Amino acid sequence: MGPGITVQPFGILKHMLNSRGSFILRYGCAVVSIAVATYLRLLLDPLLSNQFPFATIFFGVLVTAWLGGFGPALLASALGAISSIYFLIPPRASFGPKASNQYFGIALYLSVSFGIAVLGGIMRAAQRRAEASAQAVSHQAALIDQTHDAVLTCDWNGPITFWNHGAEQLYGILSAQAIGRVSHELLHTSVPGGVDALVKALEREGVWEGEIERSTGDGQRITVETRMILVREAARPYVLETSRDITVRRRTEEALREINAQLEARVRERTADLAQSNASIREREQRLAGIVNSAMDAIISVDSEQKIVLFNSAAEEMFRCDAAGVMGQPIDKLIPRQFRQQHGQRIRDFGQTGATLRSMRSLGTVTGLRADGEEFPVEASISQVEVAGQKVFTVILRDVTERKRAEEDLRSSEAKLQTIVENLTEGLAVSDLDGQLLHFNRVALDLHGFATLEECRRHLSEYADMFELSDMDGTALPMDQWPLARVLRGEKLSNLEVRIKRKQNGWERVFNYGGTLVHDVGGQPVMAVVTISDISERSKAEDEIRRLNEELEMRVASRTAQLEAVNQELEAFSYSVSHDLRAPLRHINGFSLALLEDYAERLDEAGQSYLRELRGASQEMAGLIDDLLQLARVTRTEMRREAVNLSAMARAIMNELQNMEAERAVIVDIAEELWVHGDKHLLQVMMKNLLGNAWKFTAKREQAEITFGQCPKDGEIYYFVRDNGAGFDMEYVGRLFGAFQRLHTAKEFDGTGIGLATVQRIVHRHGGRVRAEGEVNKGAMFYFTLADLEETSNGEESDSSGRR
Amino acid sequence: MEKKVILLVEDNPRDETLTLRALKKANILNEVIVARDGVEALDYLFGTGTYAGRDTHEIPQLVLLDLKLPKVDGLQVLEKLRADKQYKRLPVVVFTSSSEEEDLIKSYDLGANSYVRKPVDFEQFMEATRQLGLYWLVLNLVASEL
Repeated sequence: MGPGITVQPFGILKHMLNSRGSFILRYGCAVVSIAVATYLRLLLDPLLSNQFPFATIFFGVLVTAWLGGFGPALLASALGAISSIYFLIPPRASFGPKASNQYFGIALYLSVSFGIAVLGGIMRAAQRRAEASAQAVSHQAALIDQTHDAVLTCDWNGPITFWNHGAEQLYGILSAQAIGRVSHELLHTSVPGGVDALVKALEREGVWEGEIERSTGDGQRITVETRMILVREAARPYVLETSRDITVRRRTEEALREINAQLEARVRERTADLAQSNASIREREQRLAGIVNSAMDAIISVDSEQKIVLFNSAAEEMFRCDAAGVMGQPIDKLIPRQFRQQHGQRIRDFGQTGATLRSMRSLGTVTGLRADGEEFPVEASISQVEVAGQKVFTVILRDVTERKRAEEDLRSSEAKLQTIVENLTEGLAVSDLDGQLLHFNRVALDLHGFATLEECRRHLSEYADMFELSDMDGTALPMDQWPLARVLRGEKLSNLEVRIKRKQNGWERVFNYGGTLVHDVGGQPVMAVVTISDISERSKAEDEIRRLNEELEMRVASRTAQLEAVNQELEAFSYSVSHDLRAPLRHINGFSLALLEDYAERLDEAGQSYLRELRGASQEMAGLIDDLLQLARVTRTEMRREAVNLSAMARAIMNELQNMEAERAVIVDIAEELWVHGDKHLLQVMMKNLLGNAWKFTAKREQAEITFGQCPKDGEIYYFVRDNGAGFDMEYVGRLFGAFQRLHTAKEFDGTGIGLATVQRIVHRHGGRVRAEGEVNKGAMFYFTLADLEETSNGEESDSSGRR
Repeated sequence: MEKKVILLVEDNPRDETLTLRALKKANILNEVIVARDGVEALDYLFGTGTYAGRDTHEIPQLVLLDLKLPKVDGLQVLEKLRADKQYKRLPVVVFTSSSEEEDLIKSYDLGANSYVRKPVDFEQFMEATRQLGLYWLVLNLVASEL
C-alpha cells in the first residue's frame, strides 16, 4: 500500500496548525486545552471530589501534544500541573503545601505528561514528517500531474494504481477508468519481442527502457517511449512507469530522417554538381588555355601598367622569344622604338574611352619588333576587361608579312594580267553571272565601236538595242541565243560565227566568238568570259571560196557525167571486145585447124607450117586481148578492201601452176600468215601475174626456186616474189612496167608484156609502190607495198602489213 | 532409145560450122537444130513463128546457148525458157565467148546448168564440145518431163 493521499476534515485544522505562523496557535492551544481540561475536571467534582485531579489534564496534554507537538505539550503539562495544583489539588485555589501523596501524584503526573509530551512531540514530528512527506508527495503528485509525460504505477503483475494527468491526456483514458485495470491489457501494449519478454526483463533487471506501441482510448496506435522501474523495496512491489508519446516524435524523427536523407542526397547532388561545375570550369579553363595556346594568332595580355601577363605560344613564335622571358616585362619591348610612345598613348586612350566593361577595337596594321631585332607588320586588335577593379588589355596579333607580300604579288600579277588582256589581239569581254558586262579590252571596244569603257558596262539586254545578231544563214538570233547568253547558261563556245550589225551606223561584220564560264577554286562559277575576233574579211573570203567551190562542183559534176558517159562507152567497148574480137579469132583458129586436119594430105610442109603460124598468131592475139581486158578491168572495177591472206593465195596459185606442169620440180618457199588489207580479186590477179612470171622465167632452171615473203626496206614493209630464173638487165628496169614492154623475145619466153603493167596498176590502186631488181641469169625480185592508208585509232598510218 | 535433139542457139555462122564439126568429130550424132537468134530459139521451143505447128512435146535433150544474139539475147531466152513448166529442167549450157563475170552470174541466176567459154584454140574448142556432149548427152541424167 502506498501513501494514499486522502483529504481529511481535520486536515484543514492541522494544516493551519502546521503552518509556520502557528506558534501562537499551538501554545495557545496548550493554554486553552488546559483551561478546558481544568474546567472539565471541576465539572467532574461531584463525581470524583478530590480524586484523580489530573484526570482531564492528561487529556488536555494529550490533545495539546497531538495538536501542538512537544513544546506546547510541555507547556500544557506545566500549565496543567500548575492549574491542577491550584485548582484541583486540595487545598484548592492555593499554592499552599499539599499532601505528600499528592506530590507523588504530581510527580507521576509530570512524568506521564512529560512522556505524553514527548510522545506528542514525536507524534507531531512524525505527523509533521508525514505531512511533509504527504505534502511532498502531493507536491510530487501535482508535479506528476503537471508533466505531459504519462506516469503510472501498477502493482507488480497487478492493476494500475496510479494514472496521472499526462496518462489521461496521452492515452485518452480517464484515471478513474484506468485504475484497477492491467496496463498492458488496457492499452494493448505491443513491443518487439513480446510483452512477456518485457516483463521478464523488468523482473530481471529491475528497469526497462524502450519504445512500445500502445492503443489509445479511441483505438489509435501510438508509439511511446517508456521507462519502467520495478520497485522491489516497497511492501508490495510495484512498477513505476513513465511514458512519452513519441509517435509524433517518431514521425518527426522519420520525417527528419527523410529530410536528412533528402538533404544528404541534395547535398550529395549539390556536391556532385559542384564537383562537375568545378570540373567543367577547369575544363573550360583548360580549353581556353588550349585555345589560347593553339591559336594561330598571337595573344598577349597586359595589365594596367602595360606589363605582360599572358603570352601564348603563337606569340612566342611570332616574336621569337619564350613566354617566361617576357612575362612581367613591359610590352614596349615588342614594339619598335619609334612607335613606343604612340602605342602607349593609344592604349591609354583606349583604356579611357572603353566605357563598357569589355570592348574591342582594331588597331589596324602596326609594326612589331621580334626578339632578334626584325621589324615586321602585324594586324592587331585590342580589347579590355576589367577584373576586380584592374584593367587587363588583350591584344591579338597576326603576322601579316606574308599577307602583305602576297598582296603585293597579287597586285603585280593583276597588273600583268591587265596588260595581257589589254594587249590581246582578240577582243575580250567579261561579264558577271547576271549578264552585266564588266569589262571590254581595247580590241573588244574597237570591235563594237565603243569609245570608252563606260559605254560597254551595261547589261546584256541593253545591247539588243544597239546590235542585231544573226547566224551565218542570216536568221536573226534571239537574245537567249546570243553568245554571252549561251555562255551564262553554262555552254562552252568555240568558233561560233555570228553576223553582227550595228543598228545606228549600220555596219555589218562577222565575229567569231569563243566563251566560257570562269570558276573559282571551289568550282563555283564567278564570271563569264567571251573572246571576240573580227572575221569579216575571212568570212567574205570563205563565202567566195564556197561560191567557187559550188561552181567547181558543178563543173566537176558535169565533167564526171561526161566521164561516166565515156566510161560507160568503154564498158560497152570492153564487153564487145571480149566477145566480138575473140569470135573471129576463134574462127581463124578453128578453120585453120579444120584445114590442117581435113586437108593435111593436100598441103606440103610449108603450107602446113603456115597454117600452124596462123593458128599461133590467133592464139597470141587472144592472149593479148585477155590481158588487155584484164588491165582494163583492173583500172575500172571498184575496190573492195578486206583482209586477204596473201600467203594462202600464193600457195594456191603455186599449187595450180604445179598441177598444170606436174613434171617441173620447183622449190617453193612461202612465208606464212602474211595478211594484207586489199581487194581480193585484184590481188589475185596481181599474185597470179607475179608468180606466173616467176614460174615462167625459171622454166629453164634445173633447180628452180620461187620465194614469197616480206622484208623491211627503207623503214617500210615490202612483200616480194623472188625467183632464180632468167632475171633481167637492170639497165632496162624502167621499161619493165610499161604496157606491152618486153625484155625478152617471144622465142625465149612467151608473154604479152602486159602482166607487169597490170601488177603495177593494181599496186598503185592500193596506194602502194612496186619495184623490181634483177640480174641476168641470176634471177629477179619484185617487191611491193600496199599502203592502204588505214588509220589507227591514234591517228597513225599503218600499212597493210599488220599481222593478224 | 530415141536420139534427142540438140538445140544450138548461135548467131555466128562460122561458129555454127565449127561447132557442128566439133560435134561430129566427137561422135555426137544427135540431130542439131540451129536457131540463129533468140526469137528463132523461142519459136522452136514454143512452137511459134517460124516453127509454128511443131510438136512442142518433142523437147531437145540439150540446149547450147550463146549469149550474144541479135533480137532477143541469150539471157532473155534462158529466162523465158526457165519460166515455162516444160523447159524448167531442160539442160542449158551457156556456151559463149564472153568471160564477163556478170554474164556468168546472170546465167547461173537465170538457171543455166553450165557456163563454158568458147576457147580460141580450136582444139580446145573441140575438146570442150566433145566433153560437153559426152557429159550432157550421155552421162548426165535428165529429169524426164511430162
